[in-house]
Amino acid sequence: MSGRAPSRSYDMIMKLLLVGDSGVGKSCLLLRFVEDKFNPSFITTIGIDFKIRTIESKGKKIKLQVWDTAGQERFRTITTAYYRGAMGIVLIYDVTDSRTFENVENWFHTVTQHANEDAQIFLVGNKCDDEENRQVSKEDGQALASKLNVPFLEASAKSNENVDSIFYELASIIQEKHVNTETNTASSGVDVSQGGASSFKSNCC
Amino acid sequence: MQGEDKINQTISKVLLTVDQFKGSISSFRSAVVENEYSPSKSKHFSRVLLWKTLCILNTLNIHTWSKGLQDSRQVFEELYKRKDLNIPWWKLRSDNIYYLTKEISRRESYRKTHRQGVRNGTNKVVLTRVNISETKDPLASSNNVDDHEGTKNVELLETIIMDIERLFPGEKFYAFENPYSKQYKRDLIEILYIWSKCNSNIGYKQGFHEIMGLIYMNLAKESVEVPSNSELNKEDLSILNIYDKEYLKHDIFAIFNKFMVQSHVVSSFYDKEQKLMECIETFNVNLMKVDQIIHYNLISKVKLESQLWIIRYFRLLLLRELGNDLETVSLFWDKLVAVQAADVNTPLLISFGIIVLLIKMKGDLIRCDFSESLGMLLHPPINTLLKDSTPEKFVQELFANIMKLYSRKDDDFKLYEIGLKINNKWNNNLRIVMSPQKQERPPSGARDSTETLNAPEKGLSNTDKMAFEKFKFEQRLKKRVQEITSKSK
Repeated sequence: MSGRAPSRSYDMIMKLLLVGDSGVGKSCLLLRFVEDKFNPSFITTIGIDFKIRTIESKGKKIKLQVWDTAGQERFRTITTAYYRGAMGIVLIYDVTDSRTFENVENWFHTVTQHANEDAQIFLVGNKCDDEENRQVSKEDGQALASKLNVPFLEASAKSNENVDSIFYELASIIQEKHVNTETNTASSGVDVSQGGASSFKSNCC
Repeated sequence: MQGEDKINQTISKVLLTVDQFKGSISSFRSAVVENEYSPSKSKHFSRVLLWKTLCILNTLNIHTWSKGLQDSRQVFEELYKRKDLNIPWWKLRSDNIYYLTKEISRRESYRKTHRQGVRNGTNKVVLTRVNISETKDPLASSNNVDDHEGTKNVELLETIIMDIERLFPGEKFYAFENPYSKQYKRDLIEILYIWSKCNSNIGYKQGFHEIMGLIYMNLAKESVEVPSNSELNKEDLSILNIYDKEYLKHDIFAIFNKFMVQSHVVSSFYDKEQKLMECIETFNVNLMKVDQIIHYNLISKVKLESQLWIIRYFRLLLLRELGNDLETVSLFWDKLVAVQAADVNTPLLISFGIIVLLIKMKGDLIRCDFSESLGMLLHPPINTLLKDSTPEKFVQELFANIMKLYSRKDDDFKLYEIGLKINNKWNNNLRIVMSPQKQERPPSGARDSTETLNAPEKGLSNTDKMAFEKFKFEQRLKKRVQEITSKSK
């Protein structure tokens, strides 16, 4: 078992959630980020998938717990459970499919409904390597992000462009927020889904 | 690809099987459940025979098969012919690999229905078995499909295509390199499209494609082109009829309705949220009865709500959890189909199946923290579990245990006992020490807010909760024993 288990040594644990329409490449981005692999026809996510990667940001070891959701799930209780305790939410659309971009505002609405108030949202336009089939310009993506007041990146799981950047930037923003609110002890942004264990711990086990 | 050999082999397999079970479908069904009729045990194992006799025909009397198949196939046939159920291939973007011009789309369906009509020689309409939504039948209104409806249809088609395009990556049967794969996929898209339109109250749900994809693959592999000008006798033709490639779609449609709809799998796991949550609750309660340690560990200690991981187990009937080798899950489904024919409660049976799987991986599972548990449940270490076994032995053991639990589903005491027995067999080396002194207290500032829903004893520490649960259970057992002893007096 210990071979499978990721390192338990970290300074902070963050729960991040990937959301967006079916087929925009949520699972592919996650696979690229955690295992540095790419598979053009990745199996449909049913329920959720879940992967962990520990990164280093501002001298701190951060364990990222990334939850990958099914684009088609509509059940409220279940969706609520996914969002619970999420500190960051990556909202993904596909730059080669304008309908997924048109749905971003719906997703944004769902996210703000379910997620914690201070959860950080991050907008991502995936498949930016595919210039030939592009339907959504980078400028439009940027404009929408500004309108929603969230950070934005275009990325490609296929070419590995910006994949790490999404997670590093998001983690860094959350970290910063945290420093600001840390004095405020009862911060609700802390992931407490680890029963009995704190979100902040050093070299436990 | 196909010679007389395959035809003769197919016929002899069926005759030998029918002979072995003396034409009794119930002996046949029991043999499947007991693993006596399986790929390794039976030289003449045929999955087509198993699925079509158990799901559609319900008899081993060869002479009645043609009639039974015809009735069943007529349902899909009629739907397939309906103009309002024409698949709008021509409305796809022209660079879509499934795009067809309107003329071809029409001709395709005409050609097929025409040919089938001739062979079937009947125009009887049998639509009663199809579950068409009563409230909102999109087909009832008129032949003029309005724009909105048209757009929705194309969206439905595109959604199905997107999932079918990523069906079983790595599986040769559906791989791009296989020249037939595109036709297979087109078939699946057609069946799913028509099914979804006919059940518009449910619609297409992700997961249907995978269930259907596996059944289709398994049955297509054995299907044959029935030779039209040969010297086969009537009985031979009747046998070959169940293997007829021409009607594979029709039969898959019927099987899907039986395996997924009539079994209440769709209504329990896919359709309504409330029903799904009830199933999850039933699972939790049964897990508590069968294995208190796993229940305590997952739910009370690491606080992992079952709803986070169990949906895929439920919806895909363990397809993903039983590993990448689709044969393992196929063996499991063979048995599932056999017990379905005997009216089991499939959703409950799957629920017990999950419990048995958890006991199998218990040694690793109870050492995990929250993330590790979730990781392990979403990626069960199936290769480790299969290490000292073959897929067939593994499934046989798994299923036998499931049936033991299922047969005592209403008897708490028995469930507890069977749970112990399974543990004695599989987890004999596992020593669990409960130390009431050791407890992790969350440091200040990290107060748990996640479990307000299901924890009336919120103020209790883990140890207290554990003691309380143990006490509750012991009391129940005591009561039960008292009941038993007083009865026997």
